[in-house]
Amino acid sequence: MVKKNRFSEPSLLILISLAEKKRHGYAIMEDIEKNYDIKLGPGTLYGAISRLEKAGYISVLESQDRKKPYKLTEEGQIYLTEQIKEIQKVTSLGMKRLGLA
Amino acid sequence: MKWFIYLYPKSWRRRYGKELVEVLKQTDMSFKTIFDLLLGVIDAWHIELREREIYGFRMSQVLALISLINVLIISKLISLREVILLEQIALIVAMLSFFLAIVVLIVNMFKVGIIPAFSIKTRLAKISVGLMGSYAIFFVTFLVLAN
Repeated sequence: MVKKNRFSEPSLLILISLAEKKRHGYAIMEDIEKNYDIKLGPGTLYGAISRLEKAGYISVLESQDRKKPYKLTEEGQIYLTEQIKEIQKVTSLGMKRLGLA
Repeated sequence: MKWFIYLYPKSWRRRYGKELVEVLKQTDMSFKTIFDLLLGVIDAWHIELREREIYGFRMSQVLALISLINVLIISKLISLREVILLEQIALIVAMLSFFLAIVVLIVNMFKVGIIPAFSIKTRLAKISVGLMGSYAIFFVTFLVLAN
């Protein structure tokens, strides 16, 4: 049974972006646009960032710059791994039923 | 579009305001972006109201209670006598808030000068704005009850 997602798609994309390396807000937006052709709005981006930070899945790194980089926390990594596995279950079943796998 | 930041709750603004301004500088200001920011403002207020507490009660619960009272009034489930009493209380509180707001504003004018008194940088100015907000809420409540 697939668990109900606590977070929306933008949150998941942000976590995947930060799984590669630490990034600041605009860099996350660019990464998501480049890889998925999805243009996240600044309101959606910071809404998701604030939720993820509150949940302890990402944390901000202290910086003198106005652009503060974020990194994936250990908890975030565990959560993202679980989510990816759930998605993988769904996609593999879908592929099997479509005769693609 | 920097002023959009001021629509967000204060605590949110303190934490993410500067970062959001930086992102906005690099973003095209289209209708889609403005709409997205407005949704972000609603979302941030939703989280804020869900978490903010007044005397141990969550703000969302207080708002739900006020809404329930208004529904009871509109659907006429509260007797006319109670409505008249609530109406009078609301008007008294509204007028008192307005009077105090003006008094605080005048005191502030004498203290810091006429023009600075209208900015919300001083404590007295903030109190005055708060009292004006209270006046607005209770006056609207009075109008709802009067109808």
